[in-house]
Amino acid sequence: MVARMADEYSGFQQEEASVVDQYPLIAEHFVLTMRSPKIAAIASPGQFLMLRTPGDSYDPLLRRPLSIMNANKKEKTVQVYYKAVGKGTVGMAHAKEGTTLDLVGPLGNGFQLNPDRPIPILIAGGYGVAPLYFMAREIRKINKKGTIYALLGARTEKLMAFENEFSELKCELFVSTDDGSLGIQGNVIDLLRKVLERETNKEQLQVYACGPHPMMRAVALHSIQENIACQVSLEEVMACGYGICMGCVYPTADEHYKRVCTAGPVVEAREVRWN
Amino acid sequence: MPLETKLFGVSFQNPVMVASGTFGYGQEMAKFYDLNLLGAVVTKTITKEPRSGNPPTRITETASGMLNTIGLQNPGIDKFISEEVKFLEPFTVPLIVNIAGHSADEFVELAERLNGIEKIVAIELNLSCPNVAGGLDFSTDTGRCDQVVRAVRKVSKKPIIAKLSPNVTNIQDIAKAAEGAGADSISVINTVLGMSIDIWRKKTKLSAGMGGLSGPAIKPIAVRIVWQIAEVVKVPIIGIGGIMTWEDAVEFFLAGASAIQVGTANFVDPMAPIKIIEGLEKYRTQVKLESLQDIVHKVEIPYSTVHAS
Repeated sequence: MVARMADEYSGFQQEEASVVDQYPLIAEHFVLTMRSPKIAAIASPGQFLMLRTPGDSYDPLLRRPLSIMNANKKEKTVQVYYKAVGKGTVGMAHAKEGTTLDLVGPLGNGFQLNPDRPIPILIAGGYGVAPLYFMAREIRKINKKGTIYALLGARTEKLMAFENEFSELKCELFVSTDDGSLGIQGNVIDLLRKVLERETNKEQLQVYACGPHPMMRAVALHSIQENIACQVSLEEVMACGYGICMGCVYPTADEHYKRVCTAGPVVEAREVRWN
Repeated sequence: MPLETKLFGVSFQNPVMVASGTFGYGQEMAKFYDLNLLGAVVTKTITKEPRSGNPPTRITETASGMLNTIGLQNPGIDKFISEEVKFLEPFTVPLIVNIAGHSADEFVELAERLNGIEKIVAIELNLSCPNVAGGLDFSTDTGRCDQVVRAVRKVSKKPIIAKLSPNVTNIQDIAKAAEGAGADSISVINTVLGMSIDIWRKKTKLSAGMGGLSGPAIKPIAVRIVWQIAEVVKVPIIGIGGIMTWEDAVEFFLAGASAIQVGTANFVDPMAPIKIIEGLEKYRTQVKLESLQDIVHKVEIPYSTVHAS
């Protein structure tokens, strides 16, 4: 019976990936590299995967959503960056080289380059940093010398990640921590203000934000207030990740609910009802 | 077709359907496999007016299951007929449309609107959605259940499947009421009412409070209810509840179901229904059955005086 019909390059599909390697980056956070040719071929920054925890157990039952940190078409690999925080992810952290992982992806709409706004400002908090790192890499592929701002916020120095990676991509790096242990003491809004002091031509700017909801809400509202184009990457608890369960909705500005997994996760800041 | 299943005058190529609310209207799942392989597609519940559904968080994982309180988000009957049905037009897979109303009149109106659409082989009455304010639960009461089924029976040109709730005192009375009022089939179970609490925020994990439990955790409840209903009704039963594999499906046949629906499994393994169809065919060949219908309600209770119905 020929059941699978998914066209190779027309969108998400299920793929059996295998673990290439896995290592911890900062406390409880892991970088997982998987060989996944079909997904690697078409994944773009801002998209995500739904990963089924290895093993036959129904507990945990649901797949875990993971933002894609990088996709290497030549190597046919994808990388994800995740926090081992609960049943599913702690199980993943033990997956060794060669382990088979059942993936569905790449899912959702990623960050969109805006040709009218050529100066990107990447604003990251927590493990939101990973898809923005992917975005920085992809931007550098087509824009070798232009300015890319990377604004990274974390609670404390120990929880800051990817600063070196952004520097290696020649991004203008700004860092803040809640306790001042690294960079300025403050948050990413303070960093954004600094950038806006030097980049007064606001129509050139495009903000891409990914992080905890309160951070994104603050960035979105500030951007809207300053009339700066802003794309945010939303998150919501999801069951399926591919649009059938209707669980992962966000409230839209025009008083409806749309699915994060199909309308997002990346959406225009103005489209969200931020309350 | 070896798995062919005839129910209420309709011929299905196999007894594996997909459950309402777990499949949308087909667009997404068509990316994984040919929908024409399924026994039937049951659509997400349609209501008269469009519904936005409940605010997030709408779902939360539980032990071997999940709670949901989607709140029947759907585009409403008008948009369904003008747009969603179009996607399913070119497919040959039989279409069953699930409907819900605030009153018997609303159910009737929906049934009438669907009469003219040839592609629809049956309508499934969602008598028991726990996730809507005010209850919308006609299936906790024999009188209300009878009222809705009887009213729809008068106007519907299509076979009627009554989908019942497990959140009742006496499922056999409700099932008999549905059959007596003219239902051609009974599908059970809808989700089991449950709750999950975030102990640090001291709030329910679902914004709307209670939700419906589904997944492997509810299978024993569903199998039990299918069996109880099979003891007292003659119409075919469609079993729903935690079916992940073909072995789960066979449990439901033995308990009394003539067909099954796959729900939450679609979120975990998008190929689940296809694997179940393949598994059932292997099983049928292996145990040398002419038809799966030969094992329907054939379960034996080794020492049966305790739970005699």
